[in-house]
Amino acid sequence: MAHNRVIQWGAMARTWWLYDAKFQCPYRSAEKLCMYLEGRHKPLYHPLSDVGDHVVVINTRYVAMAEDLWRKQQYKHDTRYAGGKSSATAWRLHEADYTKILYKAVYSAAPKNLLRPTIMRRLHLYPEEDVPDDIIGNVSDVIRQIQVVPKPLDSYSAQEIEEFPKLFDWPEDHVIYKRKATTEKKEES
Amino acid sequence: MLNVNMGSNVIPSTFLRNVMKNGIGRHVCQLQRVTLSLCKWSPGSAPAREFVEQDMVDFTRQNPGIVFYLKPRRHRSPVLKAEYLNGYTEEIDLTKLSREEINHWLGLLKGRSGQQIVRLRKDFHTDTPSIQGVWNPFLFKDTELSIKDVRDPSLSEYISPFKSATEKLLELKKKSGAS
Amino acid sequence: MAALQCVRSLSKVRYNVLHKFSAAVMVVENKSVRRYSTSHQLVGKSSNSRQHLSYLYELYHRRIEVGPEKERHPSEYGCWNHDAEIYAFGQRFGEDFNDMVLKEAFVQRCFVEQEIEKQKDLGLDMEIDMTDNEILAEKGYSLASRFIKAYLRYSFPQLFEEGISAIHDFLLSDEMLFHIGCNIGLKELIQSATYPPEHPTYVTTLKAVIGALIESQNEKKAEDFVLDLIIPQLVGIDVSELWNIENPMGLLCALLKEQNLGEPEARLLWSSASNTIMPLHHVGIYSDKKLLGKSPGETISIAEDMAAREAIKKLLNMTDNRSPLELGDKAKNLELDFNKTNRSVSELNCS
Repeated sequence: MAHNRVIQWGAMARTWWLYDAKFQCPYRSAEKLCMYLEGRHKPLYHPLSDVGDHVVVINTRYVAMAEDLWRKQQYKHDTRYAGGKSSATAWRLHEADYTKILYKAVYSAAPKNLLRPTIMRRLHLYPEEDVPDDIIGNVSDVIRQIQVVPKPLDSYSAQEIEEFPKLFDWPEDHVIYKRKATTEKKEES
Repeated sequence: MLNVNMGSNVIPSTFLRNVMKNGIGRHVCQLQRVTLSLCKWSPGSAPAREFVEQDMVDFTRQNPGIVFYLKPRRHRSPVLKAEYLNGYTEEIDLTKLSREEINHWLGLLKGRSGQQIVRLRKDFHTDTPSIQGVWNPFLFKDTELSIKDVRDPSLSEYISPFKSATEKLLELKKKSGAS
Repeated sequence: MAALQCVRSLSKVRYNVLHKFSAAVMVVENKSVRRYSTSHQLVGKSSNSRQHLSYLYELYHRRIEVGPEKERHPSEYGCWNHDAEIYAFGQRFGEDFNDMVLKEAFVQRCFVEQEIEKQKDLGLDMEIDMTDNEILAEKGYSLASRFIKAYLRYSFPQLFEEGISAIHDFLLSDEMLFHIGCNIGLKELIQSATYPPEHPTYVTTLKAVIGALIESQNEKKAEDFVLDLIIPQLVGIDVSELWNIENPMGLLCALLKEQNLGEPEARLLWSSASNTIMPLHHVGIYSDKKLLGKSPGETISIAEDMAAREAIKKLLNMTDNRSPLELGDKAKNLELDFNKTNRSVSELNCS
């Protein structure tokens, strides 16, 4: 009948969450992830009590940036030595390391205090779906995505496309310009 | 008397407590004995002497559980020493106090518990702060979490508060189809 | 023991005289102390503050060596009236004690023996007409024990006898009785060989006070006394934690079998951080597909064990939301059955 010890263990336990970053905005995701990493989702949260949880993020490679940020967003780095300043565009950084963009986003969203390094240690980023077995075995719950994942046309079956209510179709005599293929040109010439 | 483990440069503080759960059964007056030491001749002890002549006997009759000692001491100022059941003692110097004030002090000492007066960190205390039970991370979670694979899309997909155009169209189609 | 004396001489120059009794003590124990070659040394009260400081250090360390002031009984200070204190002790609780009997309750066996020794030393052959409090203590303890058990059986009708015994042992344990005795004001009233009295003395004296109340008044008054002083110590304590069940799953099986319910089935509800050093598992115990009790735990086996205990708590009506204990005036007129015993765990297994 000695119960209170395990009740305390259960209340203060650190849980593991999974988040799928496919087609999600890294910055808006980071705000949500920070909530769980700090422990703000728990009623027993206090900034000085270390009640944050672990978060495992998969598919960081397929993260979606808004507008033309892939081309224009600059990620700066300074080694603090002479000639140490450098910057890379988002797509370059992403090519070099698929987890870096989300890492930096969470780092910016985390509280700017001495708890931040601990928070970042509890964030586990994986570019694709494969996660080591012991990590995925820890995960107990899932954080919902913040954006709708667009469904490409290829993923719809032919039957579904046919059955979908058709609102509009081109008139029969409408001409859609088709660009000639280059091989045909060569053949002609 | 205070059981505290605090640094030496800290102003002591304590939590509210009712030692021995006094009052739940019967209330036991925590004042054990009072020693009034006064001088029989000096004018400084005159109010104390008045108190002895007029109010002391009434006090002892009303409080048979408190032992009242009179300690005449020459050339000393009058002092009221109170001892409590838990061993705590408090002395109150009665110089320049009137007879009424001595009565007030005695009333205060009688009403106190033997706890030392220290800053209270909280004005309340309970051994059972939680009525419905303490929160745990799985309090409002469904057990499907342990059955379903964690990568199941139904668990992670975004639930919009608004209906998308696709959904609206499909619904319209269903309605028209049904009718 | 070395004694320190400050002598004020009549001459204009004041001298502080240090008396040193045993040099051996100084040499062996306190090596940091400055040693003086002669046993009496007149240390001039110099204007040199450095020397004065070292003199003060010397005084300080010698005092520490000697130890603190011995705690004395108030009678040695002059302000003590034993009869008045005994009377006040009874009046404090609103009880009408027989003063003679109550005085007996505070006399310890060691005190009586000490008195006999003193008489022998003095050469007198008088018989000492002092009885110690052992008999009263036994009386008081037996009444308290019987009453507490009856009260607990009334309050927790479905709890097993082992649980009742566990709570009873907690309430009448030496630590608890010592704690109560300390806060009642027994310290100065106790007549024992040593002052301050030892811990077991408080325990015996408290039991003897209950015994004295039985003799002065009646058993009912003594039971009310126990109800007001000892039983409220259960308030705020988690009663379930006092009894440790050895085989909770086995006991649960037996309980369910008795009530013709299905066998208990343990299932893993949730689990987190399984591969770390601080895992969390929630296990629920089901019977006939209905949840009996669930609990978190560090490992699955611990969680199962605790869940079984939770289920037993529910079945025995010992959950946190049970009705509170009856205390105070409401409990003064309870009809307690002193002959009834709750059933024991062993009875359950046999059936």
